[in-house]
Amino acid sequence: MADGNKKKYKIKKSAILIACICLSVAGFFISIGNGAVKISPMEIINTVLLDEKTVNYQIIWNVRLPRTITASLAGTCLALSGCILQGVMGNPLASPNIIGVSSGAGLMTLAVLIIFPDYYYLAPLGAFAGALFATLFIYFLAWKEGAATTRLILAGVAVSSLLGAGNNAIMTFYPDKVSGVIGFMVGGLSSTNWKHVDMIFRYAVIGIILLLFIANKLNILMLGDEVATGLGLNVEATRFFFIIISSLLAGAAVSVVGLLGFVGLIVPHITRLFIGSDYRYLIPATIFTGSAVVVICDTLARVMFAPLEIPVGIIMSALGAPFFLYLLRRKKEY
Amino acid sequence: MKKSIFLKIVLTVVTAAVIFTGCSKDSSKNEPPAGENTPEEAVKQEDNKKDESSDYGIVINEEDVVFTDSSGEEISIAKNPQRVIVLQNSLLEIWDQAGGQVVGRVEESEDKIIENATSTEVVGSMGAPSLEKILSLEPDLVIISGSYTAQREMAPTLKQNNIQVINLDNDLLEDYYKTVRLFTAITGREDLYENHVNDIQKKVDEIVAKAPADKNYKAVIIFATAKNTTVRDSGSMVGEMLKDLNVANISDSVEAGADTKTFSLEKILQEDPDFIFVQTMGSDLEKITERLKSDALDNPAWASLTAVKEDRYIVLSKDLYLYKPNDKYPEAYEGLAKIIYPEVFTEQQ
Repeated sequence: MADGNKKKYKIKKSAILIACICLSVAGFFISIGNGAVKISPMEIINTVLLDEKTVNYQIIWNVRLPRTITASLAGTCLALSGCILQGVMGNPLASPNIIGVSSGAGLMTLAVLIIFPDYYYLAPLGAFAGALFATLFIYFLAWKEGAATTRLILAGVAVSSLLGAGNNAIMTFYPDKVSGVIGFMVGGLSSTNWKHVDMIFRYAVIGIILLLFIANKLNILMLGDEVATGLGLNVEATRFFFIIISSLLAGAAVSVVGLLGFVGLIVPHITRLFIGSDYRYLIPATIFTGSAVVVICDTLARVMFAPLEIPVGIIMSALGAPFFLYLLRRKKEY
Repeated sequence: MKKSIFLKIVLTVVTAAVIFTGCSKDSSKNEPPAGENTPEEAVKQEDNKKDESSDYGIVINEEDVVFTDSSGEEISIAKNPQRVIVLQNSLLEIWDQAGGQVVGRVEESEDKIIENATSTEVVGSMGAPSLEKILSLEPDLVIISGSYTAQREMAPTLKQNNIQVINLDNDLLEDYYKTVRLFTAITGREDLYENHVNDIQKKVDEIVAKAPADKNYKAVIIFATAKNTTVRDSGSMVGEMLKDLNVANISDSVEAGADTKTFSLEKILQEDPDFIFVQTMGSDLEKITERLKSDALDNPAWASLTAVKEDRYIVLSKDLYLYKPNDKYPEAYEGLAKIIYPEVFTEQQ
């Protein structure tokens, strides 16, 4: 690439990246400024700075802020996880579901909430462990002198349906208790607090930092196993590493917000349509688009029928799917 | 042009999503949007109005009993059926207390043990009863609960095999009275009806009459899982009890079809209810209460609520407040009354 073109390329990508950051920041403020209780911007500033003992202070500091941060981090984790998996598997349909995150986390959560309801507080931990174990199990099953992507995907489908059968069995045997777990199955942030921020924060930060440093390896992996090996990359180790990171990211998100399927699949594609497939730019951009999508959709989910809330997954699919289809038809890349 | 088409598509999809989610009720029951009554609800309300005189619309003849069940079908049941299967434990408890015998039942719930039925044949679980097993027991009558899809779907096949089916709801106190009236009519045990229900009704009415009307307490009922702030309004069983005891339910402020809904924590903070009642699926009440209370205290938003600060964050036992209390309705009402109005209800004991 000529120097001039390279510079132009960098400027263009950087501009899109900045737009993604702005969207994410705007989403943050929209989320803090809106909710079931109407609080004007001036009141918010006063509340935050002065009135520590008021209801508004509680609403801003202990309801909206942790919820917005959790939504943002969960969106980032899920979108990043999907983004990496689509790259590693070389398959546009790859998402955290394919490595067993949803089914593993779902089964463990159902088991805890329905069969051992006295230990309900262990559900997030169970979800996280379930997601990670399901991924490792899939990887183990797909291993035959290396884990080829097709085998990984097919093993993922098989294990997911096996665990899905477990989910359905629990729901069939305990139908009277299912209403208590629907919130988890559709995903939502209605009872988010600072503990949830604490639970997801470290995984998100570690995952993001690691990925930013090794984004270029994904570009090499995208060239195909043979070329990547020729360029000196340990393909198997790199692939395993990326899969484990995506499982950690998605598992952390799912354990806090429940099964939000859409983000991991569609958000990376939407981001890719704007910024292209160069992972050095795609990964940072996905961090912000994932965050913005979940934060904005969650704001809509809690404002549209306030004081009732609807699951954020419904809003995301209702808005995101048509938007994605629109982009799909307009852009040349697909 | 393209933009406007895109906008139209988005708006259509959002509107559709909004309508479906906003108006959806418990999907297993196919109930209509808020504010509208199904014919059966209308019948139920009508029944409730005239319950004293016509016994919940149940006509008791010499040989049979005629009534309309929850599916809206008028049914005539011959008295004293010999081979009966009941597919829900709460209904089985009422059937047992009405002097009925069974040849089949669903898996026992550890919270509702019905001694007279422990040795009878099990035909599966409430959510997945076995049609084959039921048919093999050659019942005359199968009593099902309309809350379970699998049971509703089984009804036509049972009827084709000349087995009578009664589909019943047992959600609220009125449903309980109606079910006892029906079951005692079928078993011909008028004595049990007179002694049993009249006594229960009298006790409940006494408690409700004693509840002060001028306290204007506000409450919220939440369903405890680690995930959602799901609330239950006055259309739910505990919600109805609180309403009868003159306690306002803050989640009644929104009409949402379902009696269970995800409610804004912001609104709960703003309303600052006097009581927070927590329903739980946990069995070890003491342990789970301790855990839920410490969760509430650890969360600064919940901890700022008056009810939490003043120890009026009450975890309800599941035998009386999650499952149907049936003949223990007076205990359930009294339990709540003592918590809400200790000055009125504790002294007399």
